[in-house]
Amino acid sequence: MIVLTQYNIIPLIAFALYSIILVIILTSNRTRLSRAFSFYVVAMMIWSIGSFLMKTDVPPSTLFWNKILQIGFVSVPVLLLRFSYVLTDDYDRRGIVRFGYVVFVVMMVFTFTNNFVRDASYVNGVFEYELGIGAYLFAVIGSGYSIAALAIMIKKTYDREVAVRKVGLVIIGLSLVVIGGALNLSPTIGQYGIDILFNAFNALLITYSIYRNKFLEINLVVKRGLSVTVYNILMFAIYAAVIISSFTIIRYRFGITDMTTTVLIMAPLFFLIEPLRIIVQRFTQHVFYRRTADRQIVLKQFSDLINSSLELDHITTSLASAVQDALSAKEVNILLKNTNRYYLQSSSTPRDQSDDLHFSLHHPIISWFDKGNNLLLKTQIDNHVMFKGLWDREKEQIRALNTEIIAPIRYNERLIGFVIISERNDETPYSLEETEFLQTIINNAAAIIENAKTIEMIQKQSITDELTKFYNHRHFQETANQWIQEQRYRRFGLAIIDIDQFKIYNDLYGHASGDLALKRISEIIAGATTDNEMLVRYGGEEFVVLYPHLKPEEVFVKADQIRIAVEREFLLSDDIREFLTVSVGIANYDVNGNTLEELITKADQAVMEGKQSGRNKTVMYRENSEHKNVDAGVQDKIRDAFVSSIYALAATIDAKDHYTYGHSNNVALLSEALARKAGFGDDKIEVVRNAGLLHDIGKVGIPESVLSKPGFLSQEEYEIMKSHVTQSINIIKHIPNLIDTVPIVISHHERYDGKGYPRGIKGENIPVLGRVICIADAFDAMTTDRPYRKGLSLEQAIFELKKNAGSQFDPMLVDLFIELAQSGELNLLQLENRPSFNGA
Amino acid sequence: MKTLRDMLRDQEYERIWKAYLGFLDLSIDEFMDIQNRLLLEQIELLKQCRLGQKLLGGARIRTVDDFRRHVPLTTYDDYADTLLNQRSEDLPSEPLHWVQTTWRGGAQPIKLAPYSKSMVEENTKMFMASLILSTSKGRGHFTLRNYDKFLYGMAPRPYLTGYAPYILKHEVDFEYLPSTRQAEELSFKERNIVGFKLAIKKGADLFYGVSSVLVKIGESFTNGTTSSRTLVVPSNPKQAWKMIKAWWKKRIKHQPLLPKDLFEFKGIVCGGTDSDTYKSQIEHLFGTTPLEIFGGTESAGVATETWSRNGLTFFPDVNFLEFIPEDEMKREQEQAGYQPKTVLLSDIRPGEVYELVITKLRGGAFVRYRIGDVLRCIGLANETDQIALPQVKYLDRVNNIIDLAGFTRITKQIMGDAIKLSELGIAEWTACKEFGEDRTYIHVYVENPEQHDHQTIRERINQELMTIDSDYRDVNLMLGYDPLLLTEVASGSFARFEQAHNNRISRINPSQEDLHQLQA
Repeated sequence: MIVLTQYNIIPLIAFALYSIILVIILTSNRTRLSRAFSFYVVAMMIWSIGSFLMKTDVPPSTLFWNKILQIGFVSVPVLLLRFSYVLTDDYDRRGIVRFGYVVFVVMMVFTFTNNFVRDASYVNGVFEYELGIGAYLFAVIGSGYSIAALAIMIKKTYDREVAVRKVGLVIIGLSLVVIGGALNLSPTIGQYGIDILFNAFNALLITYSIYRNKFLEINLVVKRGLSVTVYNILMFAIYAAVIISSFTIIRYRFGITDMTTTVLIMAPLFFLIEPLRIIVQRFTQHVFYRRTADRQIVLKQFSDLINSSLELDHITTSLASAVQDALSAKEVNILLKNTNRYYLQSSSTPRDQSDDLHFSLHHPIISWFDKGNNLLLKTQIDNHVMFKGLWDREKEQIRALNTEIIAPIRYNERLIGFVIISERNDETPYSLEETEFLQTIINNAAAIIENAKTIEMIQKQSITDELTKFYNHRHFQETANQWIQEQRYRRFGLAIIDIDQFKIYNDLYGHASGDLALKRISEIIAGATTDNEMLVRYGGEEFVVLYPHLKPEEVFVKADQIRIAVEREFLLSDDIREFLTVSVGIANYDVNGNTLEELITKADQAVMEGKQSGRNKTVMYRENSEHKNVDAGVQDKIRDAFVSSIYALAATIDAKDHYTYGHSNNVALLSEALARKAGFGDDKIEVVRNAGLLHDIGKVGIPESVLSKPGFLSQEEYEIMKSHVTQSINIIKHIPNLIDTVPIVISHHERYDGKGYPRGIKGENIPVLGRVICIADAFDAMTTDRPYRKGLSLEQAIFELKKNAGSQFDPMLVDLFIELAQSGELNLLQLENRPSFNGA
Repeated sequence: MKTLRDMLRDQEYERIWKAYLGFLDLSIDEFMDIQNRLLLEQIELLKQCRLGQKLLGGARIRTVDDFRRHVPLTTYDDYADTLLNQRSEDLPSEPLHWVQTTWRGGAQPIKLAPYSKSMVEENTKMFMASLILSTSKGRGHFTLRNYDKFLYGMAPRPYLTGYAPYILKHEVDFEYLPSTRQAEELSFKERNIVGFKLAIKKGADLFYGVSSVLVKIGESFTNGTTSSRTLVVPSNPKQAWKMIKAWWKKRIKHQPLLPKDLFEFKGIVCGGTDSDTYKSQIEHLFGTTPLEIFGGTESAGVATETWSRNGLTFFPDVNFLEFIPEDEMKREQEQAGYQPKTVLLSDIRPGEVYELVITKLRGGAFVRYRIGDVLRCIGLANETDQIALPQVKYLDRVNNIIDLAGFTRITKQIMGDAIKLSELGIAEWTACKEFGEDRTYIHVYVENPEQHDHQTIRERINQELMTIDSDYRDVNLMLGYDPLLLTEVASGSFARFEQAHNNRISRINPSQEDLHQLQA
């Protein structure tokens, strides 16, 4: 029979403890650390069970059980050293570890040849043994290994490679192992198995350390079993202590030996223990389930909170702080999707305003979630091929946020945002339970966030312009009036930005392109302003910017930046079709007026002044300005000066080829006549005349060899020749007062059937004056003498026009032109250099 | 972030494969997404620096198409002023290293290429990927480990290959043969010899070197020309056993000894032109099929072979890749000033030949840069390895350069100078590269107006080439063969050719047909 004595109780308790530890490890996730630790624990189990059985009468013999004990005992130091390497993230397949295995084999030889322990006996509850040479040898080597294991920990901690918090308890445990080993050298102390006790303490400390630092993911079921076991052990100890001590007191102090009396006296004690039991139960629950309970509370509080709120900011801020509290994260950031990106909606820590945190819609992280993936871990960002396309800036952003986990916010399986969780305050990894909690809380919040977003969007839509996302006219009126009423700012500037020639742009390229241009200009304005300024779509082609706090001269500088940016983006761009500019008028509150109406009127006047003085200007409203009413005569003079230059330029083009001499002037006269016949007003007639003069001005950039080449042009030369149209526009768009000729000039080679160039538009889509000039241009060209052929006669030319009516030319205009020709009106025109026609 | 060292230590092999070789699982669309995305980053960086603004010109570039439409192709001349003067402030990112290479036919003897921190990181990853692949027998499998012994046979710093051991130090624990510290004190040739001796003593797991050098080492070993007389004591039982077996084979069985009797490389990585020519020899000598990687100083790593060693797969995140098709190359030769058009990786076709154009990503300096290498597309996927990305083989340098075994690049200028300096009165000549069974040659065809002795001409030209071009001399010294072949053609042949074709025969690499007609 096995009798428990003071000698074998320690090994038995140690064995029980190691068994529990092993169960915990084996049910945890398999890592290098758990593997290394489990080997050590198994060795300790062999040691302790061997020691226990050795100190009983269990057959076959004490010496046999002693040998079993040695298997564990001898392997412990090297396994401890290996564990120490693994725990400190060091390489564990070192020569010294391998040498330890060799030592183990040698020591086993010593053991089984009775050279480790020569003899061991357990007689009458007394354990005696006699050590052999192997034991002394191993005492040196074994303690060397244990000391090395301890030294590695201490050194790594000292070098700050490993946190004290992580290995502090392990260091204490290892110190105990070293001390226990040293005590063994004395057979008097050694017989009690103090070393095993110390090793058991060590294992407990390591287990606690692993649990606390979450080195291992401890299985929830095991945790529950463990908590029950701990609770039972504690209760057992309490009951035993109470019963034994009260029994002793009753019996020896009071001399009561009668069992019934004793039971009666002791019975109330058990009621008194009940509160103690509750305390123990709470204690174990606190130790094992504290975080889970806390998280449940957080979840409940958060649910209550968001159910009572519709405000997006409030909801997301609460979510961020709930996640931060529950997971003890350093930082939590929530990004939500808008039309063109994911923007930072809420952050648990205040972020720098200038730190523009956003993710594009094509960000690899978004693609990851779009593919249906759930949580994204930092290690995946580092290693997964999907993130190879991350920009350095984006990597830096992820790093700066201390990103550890990114969790998607999905509503109806659609990604509406995501939560970025930083590392934990104590830098330990997150557990599976925690990530599950994270998903639960986010799922709870998703629908409410979406709801709040929709409400916010509707509110915003009612005050913003759909195309530009600027505030609309009504909201501007309300806000600006409020500013003035409340005297919110001592001063502010109001700039009206009016797009020059926008109607022409719209007519020329269509409304879709016009909208695109408006959008681009609004982006330019947004880019040239800060969040402090208020941006407004004031009218079709008018924007307003309110500049709070700024002095008039500062407002001027900032508003002019917008003008310059638009000029650079459109007028000065390589794309010759772009000719837009803006005129900016500025009025300042408290300087130019004290009511909104006053300010708007004055800014409008400044805009007019800018337009009249050639457009693409920024003008500050000034009382009694000399330029206020620019004399119309001066305007005309300016324009005349331009036009004269153009005449000269056009003449130069014609002069490049004497056969075409006078062509531009002729086209101008013919177009004018046709436009008049078609019943256009004087302003249109003037425009078409100018367009006629200018239509071929782009030929200035065509090489002489192509321009004057007799006979047919090659395909390549023809392409060069065709480019004169766009080159013409490139020249004209820089002349403010002639910009209205652009739609005409650009269309003079378009055909009615859509086979023309440069845009290939057809029929009524071709600006009507463009169709006019097309006929005039063709007619003049047909009637011109060429080196290889004489010009066509009037009849022949009319025949050609008729033939191509409906394909090349507008048939109605052709009819009118023929009427002109047949009525002899054309003969009255001062056409130049057209002998074949003039002679007709 | 865990380093390769940590992951190897923790035996996380699957994670390593994903991190370094995950790109092999990409589809061509995913590959192009990465390319396009990183190019847009590069465009942003270029816009903000002086060099970039110069190269991009005034055009508004927002998309990959804009970039390809408006930015002209470049050569080193476009960068020489900025890079040779090391004007860091003009570059898209701050260089961490200035890597050097020779500039054949250039205005200066060397070229410099800047490497930013981010580029260095990507390059390291790329090189590690190739090393891992060299030890791989299939997807997900590899035997590379910490403390592997690495016989490193590449040019030292400031050449690109010389940086690898220093950069890899932070990533993984290799034992270099010889150690980097010792290597710094030795010449290139000495290092190879010392490294080889150490490899005999300790065994070696990995080798990285120029293919031709590896063959030369192997051959010298087989012929007994480099085996030192000094006794090499093995430092471990495995190597001792190999040496005993080798001794048995040589002394008792009297069989010739091959390097593979003493080494068991886990992987051999080879680079340099003509690698394809040398591969089978390397396998015969060392018992391991080498894995070819393709890259250069300006481009860094461009592509790597995979475990079947049949075709190079491009890295998606090191360079933005464009390809000039063969007919565009021809059109450029015919029309001076013609800007050839390029296609993207997703557009290349099997069997076609392309010149590679790269734009460095991650803040590199080179934009639509012609590195001068010609590739052949051998398929749109590697079915054996189940890689769904286009596969290419390295063909050669562009036709106006004769590249010998990756050692030297002979240009028209160098050849012309050598012939002139040989003072043999030779005015008519042409030279081309010729492939022997296992090595490459430069074949010169000359008219010999002064009737010199054939041998004299060959020796004089050879001598002058060795004087002018130290790399050419290295071919002689390091590889131990004379790469010059000479053919004399009848007097007036060149003039007749010119008359018949209305054009002179090309000085460098004329077509085989032209050569045939020249000699007819």
